[in-house]
Amino acid sequence: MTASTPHPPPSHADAIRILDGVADDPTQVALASAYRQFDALADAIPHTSLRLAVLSTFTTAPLIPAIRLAAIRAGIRADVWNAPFGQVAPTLINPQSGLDAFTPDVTLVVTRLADIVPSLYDGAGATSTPIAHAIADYLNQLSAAIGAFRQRSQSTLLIQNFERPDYVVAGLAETEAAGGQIDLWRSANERLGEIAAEAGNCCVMQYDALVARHGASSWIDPRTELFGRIPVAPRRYWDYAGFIRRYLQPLAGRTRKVIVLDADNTLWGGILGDDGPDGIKLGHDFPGNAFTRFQRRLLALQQRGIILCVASKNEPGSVERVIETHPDMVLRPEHFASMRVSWAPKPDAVREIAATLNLNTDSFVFIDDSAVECAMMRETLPEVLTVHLPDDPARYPSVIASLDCFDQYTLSEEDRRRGAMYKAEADRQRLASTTVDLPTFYRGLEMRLSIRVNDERAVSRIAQMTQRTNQFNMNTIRCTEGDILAWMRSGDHDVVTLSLSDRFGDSGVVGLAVIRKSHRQWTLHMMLMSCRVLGRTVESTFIRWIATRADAAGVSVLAGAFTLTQKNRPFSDFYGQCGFSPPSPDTNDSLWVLKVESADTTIPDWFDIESDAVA
Amino acid sequence: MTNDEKLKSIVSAILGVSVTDVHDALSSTDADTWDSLNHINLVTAVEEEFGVRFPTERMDQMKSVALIKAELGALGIQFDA
Repeated sequence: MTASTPHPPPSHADAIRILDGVADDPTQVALASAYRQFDALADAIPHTSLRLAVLSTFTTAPLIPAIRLAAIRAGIRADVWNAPFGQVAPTLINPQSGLDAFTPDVTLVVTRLADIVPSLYDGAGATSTPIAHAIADYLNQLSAAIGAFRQRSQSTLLIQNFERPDYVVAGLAETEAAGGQIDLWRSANERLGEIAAEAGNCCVMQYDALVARHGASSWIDPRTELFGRIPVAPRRYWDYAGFIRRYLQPLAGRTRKVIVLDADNTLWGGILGDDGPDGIKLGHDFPGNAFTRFQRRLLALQQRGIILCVASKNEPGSVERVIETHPDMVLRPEHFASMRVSWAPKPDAVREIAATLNLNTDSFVFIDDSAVECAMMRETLPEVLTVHLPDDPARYPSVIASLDCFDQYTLSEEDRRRGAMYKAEADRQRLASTTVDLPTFYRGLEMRLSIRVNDERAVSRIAQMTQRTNQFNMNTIRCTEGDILAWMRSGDHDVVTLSLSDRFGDSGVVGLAVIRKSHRQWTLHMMLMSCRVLGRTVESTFIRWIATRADAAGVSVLAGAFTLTQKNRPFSDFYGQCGFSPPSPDTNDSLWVLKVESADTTIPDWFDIESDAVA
Repeated sequence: MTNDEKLKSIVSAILGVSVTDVHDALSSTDADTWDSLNHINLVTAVEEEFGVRFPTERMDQMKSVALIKAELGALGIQFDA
């Protein structure tokens, strides 16, 4: 027997990460391994408990682990009681069946017409009267059983409806005429609607829509269906679990209410600061039309009561102007309840929005294209549902369609009074008072800087950067490849490039400094960096690295040139923040000045730096 | 990871037994958690992790680790002796 070292219990963020890992690739091994930790995961996630009874005509046991894991991801701890297989009506009718003793908050009735009347789904004798009678008898029996249960219990009832027959024997001749397979199927589902209305506090679950969404051929694995009586393919267990969870969320008060959106590469293609309002992709042709479709779906949610907000790292005012004036925007300022456009960490922006709206962050959804922003949000505010957009904008609209976290029931007032409220062991965290622990977060990014001096292979990329970078650009000097090469080959200039890679991938060359060297002074004639990598101390570390080299070369002063433009205004104090003294107002100089020997050149421990520079 | 180690980790994950307790003779008759339900999960997991698909009629023939190895062998997955 191997001794195992006790693991520390997972944190809320750890638990979310584990469950999202399962959701990304819900293999049997992933589900089994995660389910083994269910109690620890449930302890880590603030949750509401729900007693869930499952009555079924097929084997539901393999689905229970997935259902419980999907539910706890949404903050619902489902404690499940499974009725004996194939005994739906007796379980409902008999007060001693165990169902009453379980005191369910929610009772799931998951039956398949295919189990009751298989010939309907095999096309045999579909137009014969005995089939229609068998269906009617079954549904009458179900109605009576539900009625009997309803006399004794106020538990919410969820009845799964029937999937559309995939094998329609009449083929093209099927006219949905009375008595045909499709007609019988449709009537059966309508009858379920009537049963639900009679019972009160009862909803019909749209299983047919779920199967249609995935396609009948991928939904069922005939092998597990025939061998194990499991009508859901193993690869789809997680999707089924999400379907059940969708119906539980509003009952547990776990519906999301707010979407906080990034702007660049989320609402539009491109980076506003670099591409300008005319350069961003938004409009009628791809990729712009992917973004307009994405916005239309968000607008639809807003019109049905979901609150939209923006949290964007950009110059304040720039994003708002685009939303107000760009001709192809679908969403306009009136659709947003709050816009936070600043360089502060996004979790802070989300907290501020939550305070403004007086809503808990656990009702928030955060959507961003940046893996780094999503990682920071998941680690700082794990109760926020963080959605990382896929690489391809064409897939953005389908992300909105599959969020499944905004549902509300409209049960009538009468039903609400009749239905008992489930026990709510609300165990919600207070609005987090912890600040983002940046050093730990930065270390977790596993950032590697690669710094090259006068690397002629990068000339083309360097020239391109000088053309395109507008925001973090201290000088906005546009260069040709010839200019760069000339500097590299001259003895009195160094062209220094910085590349960044991290846990999420390789960003390539993202920083550039052109240094004019003289005996006592090095001047940063050009200094620029891609917006994407700002806010993680890369820019200040680059300066420190250069200062270290200046010191080693016996240089006493490192100077930085700065020319103010509209676009680089947010960074006008960058050299100041790095410890440089501002240009003296008396002189005509625009140079910031750093005395190298007294400069702080410590390189933060969250960087791994590799360089080809000779000492 | 060898195929042997991979199969052991799959059996361990699905049946909830320690990897060191997984040996060729482990079967549905002596493992408490190897019931008909977990059998389907186990066969599916082996298929997913090894990228194979067993003929349905073989599923009932795979009720021990040794038998699973034999079925995988028939599909070209080698295990060291």
